[in-house]
Amino acid sequence: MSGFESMLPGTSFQYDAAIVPANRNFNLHYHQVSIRFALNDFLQSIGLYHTVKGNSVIIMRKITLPEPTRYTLSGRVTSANSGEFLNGAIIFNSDGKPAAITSEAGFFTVILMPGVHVIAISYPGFFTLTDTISVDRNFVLAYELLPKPDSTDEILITAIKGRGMQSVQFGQTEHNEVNNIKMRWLPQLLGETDIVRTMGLMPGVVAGSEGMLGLYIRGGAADQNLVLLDDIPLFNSYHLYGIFSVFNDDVVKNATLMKGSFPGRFGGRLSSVISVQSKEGNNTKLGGSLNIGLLSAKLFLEGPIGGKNTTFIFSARRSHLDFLAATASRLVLRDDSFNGNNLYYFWDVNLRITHRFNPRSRISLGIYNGRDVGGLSESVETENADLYSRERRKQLTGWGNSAIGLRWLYQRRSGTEFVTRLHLTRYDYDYTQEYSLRREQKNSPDKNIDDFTRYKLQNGIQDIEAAFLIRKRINKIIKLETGVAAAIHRFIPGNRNLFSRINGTETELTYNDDRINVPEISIFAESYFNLSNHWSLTTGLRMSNYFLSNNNYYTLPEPRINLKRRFGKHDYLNFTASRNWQFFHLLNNLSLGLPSDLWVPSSDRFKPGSADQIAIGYSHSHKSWAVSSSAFFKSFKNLLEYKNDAGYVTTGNYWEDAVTAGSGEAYGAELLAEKTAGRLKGWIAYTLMWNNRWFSDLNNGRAFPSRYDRRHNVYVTANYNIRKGLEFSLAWTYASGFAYTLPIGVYYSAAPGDPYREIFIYGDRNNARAADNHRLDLAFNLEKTGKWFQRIWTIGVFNVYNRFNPFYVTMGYNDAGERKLFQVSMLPLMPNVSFKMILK
Amino acid sequence: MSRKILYIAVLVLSFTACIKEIPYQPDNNIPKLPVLHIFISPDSVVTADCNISTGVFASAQTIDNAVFLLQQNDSIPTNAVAMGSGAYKFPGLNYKAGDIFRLDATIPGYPAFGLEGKIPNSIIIEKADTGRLLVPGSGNSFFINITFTDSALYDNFYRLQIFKISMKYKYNNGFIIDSFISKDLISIYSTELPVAENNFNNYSSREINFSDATFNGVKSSLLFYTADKLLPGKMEKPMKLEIHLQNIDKSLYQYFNTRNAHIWQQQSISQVPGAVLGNLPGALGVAGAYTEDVVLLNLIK
Repeated sequence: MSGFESMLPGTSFQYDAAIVPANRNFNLHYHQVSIRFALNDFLQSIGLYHTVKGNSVIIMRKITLPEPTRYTLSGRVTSANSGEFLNGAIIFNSDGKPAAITSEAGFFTVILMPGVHVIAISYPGFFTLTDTISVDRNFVLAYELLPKPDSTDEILITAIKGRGMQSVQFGQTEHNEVNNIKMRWLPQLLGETDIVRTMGLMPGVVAGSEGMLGLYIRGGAADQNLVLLDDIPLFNSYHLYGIFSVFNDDVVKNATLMKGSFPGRFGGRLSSVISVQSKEGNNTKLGGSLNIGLLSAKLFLEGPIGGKNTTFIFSARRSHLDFLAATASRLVLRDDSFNGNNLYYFWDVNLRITHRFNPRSRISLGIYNGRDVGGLSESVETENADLYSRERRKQLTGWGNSAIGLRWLYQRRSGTEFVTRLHLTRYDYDYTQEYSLRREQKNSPDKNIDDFTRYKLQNGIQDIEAAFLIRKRINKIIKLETGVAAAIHRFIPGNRNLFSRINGTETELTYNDDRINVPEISIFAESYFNLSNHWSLTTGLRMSNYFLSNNNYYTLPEPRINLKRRFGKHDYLNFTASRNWQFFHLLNNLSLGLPSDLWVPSSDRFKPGSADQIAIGYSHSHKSWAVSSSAFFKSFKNLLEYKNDAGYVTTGNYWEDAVTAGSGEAYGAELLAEKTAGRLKGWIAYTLMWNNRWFSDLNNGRAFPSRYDRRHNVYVTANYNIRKGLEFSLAWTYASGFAYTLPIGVYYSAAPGDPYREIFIYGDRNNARAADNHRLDLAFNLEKTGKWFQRIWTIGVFNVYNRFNPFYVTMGYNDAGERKLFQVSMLPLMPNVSFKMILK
Repeated sequence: MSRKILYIAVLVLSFTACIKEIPYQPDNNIPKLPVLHIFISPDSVVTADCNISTGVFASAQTIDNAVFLLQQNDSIPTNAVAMGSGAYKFPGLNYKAGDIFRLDATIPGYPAFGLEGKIPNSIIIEKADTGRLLVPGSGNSFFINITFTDSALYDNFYRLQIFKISMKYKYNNGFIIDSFISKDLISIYSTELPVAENNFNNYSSREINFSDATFNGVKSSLLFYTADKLLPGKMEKPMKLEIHLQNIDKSLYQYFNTRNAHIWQQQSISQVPGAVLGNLPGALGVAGAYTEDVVLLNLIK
């Protein structure tokens, strides 16, 4: 040290002689460096360091402390009002960074160093809760968040601050979150608020036919979406031929649209997962609402059962167009023919019962049942002195989902979560034709006739599945989710039953296509690695085995990877790559998606479909606004399409002859800008996309655009809070026209005994474009709060400027007998009004 | 007043018809292919028609300067005589069941082509029973059960059509002012296996096409029905049913099936019509042969 002392006159060096090597000389050579640097460098080389105090330099030994013990804080987040678990609540750590997000069970786990921490918990519509905790052991805590005074769990009229409302969370641009608050920012269609319609306005989603809810996500088809209600798949998620979804908005808590980077527990679909979570019910008081719109009436009830630990929700909805049509017809047209004979209606019922054994364990039973019924009947009665005669014809079409599921969620004190699920879900379609003839000869009863015939067609699909999942935080860096699922898929491709009673003799014939049972076993694992403050990596693999009846089987590995880089607090760069498989095919026609569309399994001839996707996304979020963008490329294989000359298949007999397999690709870019707080809220979404197909049996093997190859898709939504209790909302949508096939030539075809017929010559498939789709919807929501009830009037206009958007295009003849091209449109301007009453 | 007008405007807009004419985006690549139809049947004059396919909105264009040669077995080929408007006639040809025919066609501007075929064996309707049948969905229907014979030596394909011959009336002030005899093709259906096995029958009720996969070589029957009540009314009095059962060659079977599918699919909003498949290399249409038996059923007793 003497050398340094000589260079720094007036400075004293203080140190314990024992720590400085005695009797050793060091030769140090530094050139053009400060003395402080040289001293520091020298002391480090011998395991010492220094501090300066006044004119003194204090030299000390470096002590390496053992790695401190880390502790686990786990717990759950619920609503203080209703006791509902809050899924998607964000837990922020002391430095304001998000540390965890609650799972679908409301559970979370964070790893903390010993010491005092201030954590904050945020959820849309609720006050942010902060808690100061002294961490010296593992903790299990339960947090209850208070709803904001101007909001309830049902309706949120005023602005809500917080990033929880944003569609893109934690930079995951592959997922879009929509909750029941955001859903209400949009104008209604015929008085119905619809979560799927809201999702249809997210980037990457291309609308199908005008007004229809079929979502075509990143070049996929509507059947490539795995639609889940509380983790139970629903095979047909639409009412009224696709205009409304089966999800009654009263029961929806939130929903996530996953366009890529699916969690390991989801698989078996090529394009997306649409996961809808229902409410669990208020555990403090009985509540409910009654809603009457132009289309349907709804009743919703929720509350505790025998205490705070058991809750229920119940909802029932029925359309009443049939009643309205019959009444209007009777009163205005003096026509009784609508009186129950010509009808269409749908109904659905949701029931969910949840029991909490303790704060870390609960079980819930969910039941959904819904059906659409369309029918036509006519009856002719005549009577005179000799004869009474009645002839009756009836056609009835019905389709719907039935689902029941049991889910047990359990969290150990260590924070490890266990989820056990069991469900049965079924979709069925049936068509019935009946004819009866009754003749009563008043003078000769022995000649009476009482004949009856019935033809019935049924098809459908059924799933029984059991699954077990473990979610565990291994350490601060690694989080693991793994599980196993076993399922039996039963395909009911066609039951036809013919019954007749003629002259008192009954005959019954049944033609059953073979029911196909396909067992499936899946295992999956997903690891989340928090690589550093900036980098995180999620890898996942799902392996599914489908066993065919001829002892063959398919093993379908679905790997996924997601690499994320955070820049600062609010910016993320996200890269994902995945391969997905789809074992089921829905034989849907080219444009509509009818309830009679048949689900069939993959076979030796038609292999499961696959989709490889890569995507890169960037997102920036702020408290009240966020922007995100992504680019993607997706390649499909083993897609099915009807052959040109194929008949429409309603039974399983000939489906393999009716379809052909091919490939496809889709690529494009997406942009989302949203404002989630303030008086004005809303979002703008834009999707630029190319979507092509190749089928060796179609279009002479040349590539052709998919029907929904819509190049530009723009969705604008806005919600403005005019004053307390009054808000205005709008949605404007624009999409490039769909592709369709137009003939390029014509000739006349002769046949003996049949007149000449026009035969069209077709060029390339989908060689023409329909007119662009665009539409503006507006609505006002007026809310009044009374002592017992909250009343909400919604008055709106659908398709304000009465745009005739193309539904399909067809050749035809005008009044002058000239061949022309015609566009058929649906859903013109429609005013609507609805009234909702909520029990306070 | 202005409020009333607003209400009316909203109502009118809400229920405006949603079908409108739109401009056609013409394709410059209009296919101009020759179209030829020749149906050869024993004991009848063989005719042909020839034209060119056109653009969707163009008028039909016939060909009157084509050269067609039709040969019966080993005889000297007969030259077709142009009759104008694309029609041709082969005078003097009289084919019999089992004959071989050979066609050579030269259409100016297109490559010449030729093909060979055989007249199917004769078919005979031995019996036609009628009655009333209760059909699910259709109700009390008029059925016909035909019994016919053919030869087991060939793959046979059949086409069945029914014509209704009626007296139709025109009225003025409640009095009949005119009457005329009309012959109309009527819709027919069958649930029998040979019909159901041909999926193309879903596309048309104007005819039933079936093969002898079930009937092969044995005397058999086919039950079919019509939803037409066939009862006398004020405007029409059905008199007879004309049953046409044809034994058609395989190329005609394919042609009729795909033709029916195409015509049906033109009206479908969900399917793109498939091509009508013929047997002419480089040309549209078909050249085929058939034999036929016709039976008349009297409806007036």
